Amino acid sequence: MKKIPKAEFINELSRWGKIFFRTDEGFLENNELSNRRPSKPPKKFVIPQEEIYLLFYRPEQKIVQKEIFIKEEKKVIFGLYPCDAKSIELIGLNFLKDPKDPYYVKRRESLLLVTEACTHPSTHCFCTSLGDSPLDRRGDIFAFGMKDYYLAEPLSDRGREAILWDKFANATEDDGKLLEKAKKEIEKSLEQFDFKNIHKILYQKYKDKIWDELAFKCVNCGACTFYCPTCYCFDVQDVERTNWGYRERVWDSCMFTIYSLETSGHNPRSAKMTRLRNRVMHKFAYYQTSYGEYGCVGCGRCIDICPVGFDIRETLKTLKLEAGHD
Amino acid sequence: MDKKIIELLKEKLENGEIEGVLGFERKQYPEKNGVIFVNHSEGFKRIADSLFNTLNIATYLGKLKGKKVAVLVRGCEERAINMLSVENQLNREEFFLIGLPCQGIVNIRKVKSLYEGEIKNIEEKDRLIMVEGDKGKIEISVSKVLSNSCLDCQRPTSPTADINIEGDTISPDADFLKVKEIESLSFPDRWEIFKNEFESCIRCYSCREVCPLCYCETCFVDSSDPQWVEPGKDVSDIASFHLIRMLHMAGRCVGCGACEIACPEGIKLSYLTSKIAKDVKEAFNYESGLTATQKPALSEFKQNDKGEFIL
Amino acid sequence: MEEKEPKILTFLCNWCSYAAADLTGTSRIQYPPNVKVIRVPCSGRVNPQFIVKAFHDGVDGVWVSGCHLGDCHYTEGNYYAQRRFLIIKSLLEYVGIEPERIHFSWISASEGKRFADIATKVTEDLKKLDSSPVILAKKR
Repeated sequence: MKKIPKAEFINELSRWGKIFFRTDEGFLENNELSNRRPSKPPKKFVIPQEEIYLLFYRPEQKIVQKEIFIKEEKKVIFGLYPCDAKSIELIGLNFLKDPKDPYYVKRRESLLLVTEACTHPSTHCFCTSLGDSPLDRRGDIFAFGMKDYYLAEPLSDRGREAILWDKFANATEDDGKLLEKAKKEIEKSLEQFDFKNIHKILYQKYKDKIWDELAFKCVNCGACTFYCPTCYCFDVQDVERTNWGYRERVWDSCMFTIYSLETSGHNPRSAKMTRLRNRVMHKFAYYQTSYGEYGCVGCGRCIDICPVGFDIRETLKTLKLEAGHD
Repeated sequence: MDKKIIELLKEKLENGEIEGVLGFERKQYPEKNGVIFVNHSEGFKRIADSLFNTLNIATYLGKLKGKKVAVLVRGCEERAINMLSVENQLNREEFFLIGLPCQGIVNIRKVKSLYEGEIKNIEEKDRLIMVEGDKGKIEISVSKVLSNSCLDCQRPTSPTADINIEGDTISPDADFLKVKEIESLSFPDRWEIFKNEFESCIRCYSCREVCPLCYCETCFVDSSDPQWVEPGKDVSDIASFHLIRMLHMAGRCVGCGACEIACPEGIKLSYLTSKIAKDVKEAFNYESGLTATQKPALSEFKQNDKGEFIL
Repeated sequence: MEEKEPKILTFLCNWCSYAAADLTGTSRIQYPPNVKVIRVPCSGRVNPQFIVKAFHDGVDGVWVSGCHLGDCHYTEGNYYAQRRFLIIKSLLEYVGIEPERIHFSWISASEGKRFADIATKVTEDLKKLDSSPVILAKKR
């Protein structure tokens, strides 16, 4: 680990790419770092809300198709907390599986993720309940903010090549101890549930009537899916104009009624409860089965934003209790 | 809940008149008060009236089709139930409505804008909100943080409820002041305001889902043939969505303000809902949901309807 | 510099206003070509979504015309339309769309000259505005 003065660190990084700082709202240029998790996740940097990728037009009688593949400018995402850094990894598990999504690849390659240790978890955070930590080393570079310095270390090749690490002094043993102490304190400050094997209980309780009660509050609006750092579902739509049109990818939500609507008119998830249950299963069971990791990082944004007060922690706790009584 | 009401509900539950009670569960800040359905009397104590019961409970009635339910309602919620009854979406007879003395609902964003630090706890007492956090304790008068829709509320009482709980209700000026303010601006200035609001919309449709009167099986937004509104973040698409939704709400919206408070971006939908309420009131002398049989404004006409604007 | 001609999407009810437009034509009375006509069975058929979508698709103005009150071929269609038109015009103006962009009229089948007059008025009103696109027009 190196000990780098704050201003110098930012300066070095700015040579790699345009820096986007963690703010209360999201990740913005030319900003002061906020001391909390942003309300909007960084997923827009790897999967934008709207992406036009195919243009079709008819200059004469023939139809011409043109792929739109614009080179991305390099960006430094500075100060994202380990939960958000993990969320980028989790999204990657899906898009980097063969065949790799070339649009995702070009965007991920243009990003340098500089993770900052989370020292101020938000009220609804529960990363530790999933076995993660607010001081997990993730991203391309990991940094721990002290008063005037960052203790930082590269975690990937991109991180190693990003700045001239040899220029800076090594962190001392005391610095290391400080980091360890902070880790223990911050982890303790979070309310701890035990969700580490929740997928087994979810598979067990899939058909249970308790889901009707659990899903009662939910109105299936979709706000959670838009603010969730790992939700990546998209819809492909063709937009038509008179002699031309374009095909785009836009964020979709499994909460919407038409999400699974088939051309025949059949909708396997027409009941609201089934869509809510599907989301919970996807995050905490199916992702585990497909990729070996939960699809949730415990950031709590869904709880913050939900207009009806649905709380995933309560839901998982209730399911555990139900299973315990069996 | 009032002791007498609890006794009454217990009785009705025991003799089978109702199968359960629908109400809000009071939660400690920062949790949100959600809607619960309680079908055993021990659970009644979870239900409580609160300034933070910001949803419209009528949205949940669809989930209870066929059940005989007692519902605790504010004025706007009772009116939403009347509207749904008129539009044949539910049978008013199946519901036993208990009218609450409405003190309005509070918009948490307004509270947050008046407190500099991070809020840790909120208490309600009389007409005050007590806010506690890392910058100490302050008291805020409820009138300062009421939802915008409450300021334009025409009727906080529930005249068609089966029984009414006694108590004071708010008496808003109900004068559509914000709407009049916008109406006095030039056309480019008006668009500046709305463009600013609409630009933050992320098309999550929370507004539509919490609205009790948005119950179409296939919303116009979900139609791709014809495609009324395109997906994406272009402000013209976003404005089209909101304008068409408001046009569908004209004469039906009860002004509960659930959409504005549910919006994760805090878009001032009350600017639009108050406008359509003012229009139908002034042009047709109509307020939605006053009875379970009154026809919606745009489903009827009178011979003397205003028509000077027509060439 | 050529001034762009405004495009006005017009909904004409089949029994009165559309017939009036036909009469204008057969009487050889000139009216501006900016008016693009869509025939509907009744002014009451006009869905507010048509008007919002028309602006979104880039038209500069919308004009809807039906039978005079009391003369509707379907008895009361235009009464419902009248209420609807009031709300639509009021709401769209409220968000910033200029009143010159939205017009409604009652024109009977025998009023050929009147149709031309109103078509001219609607076009002239629109030409008075600057030629910037309507706020709802889509960007791409």
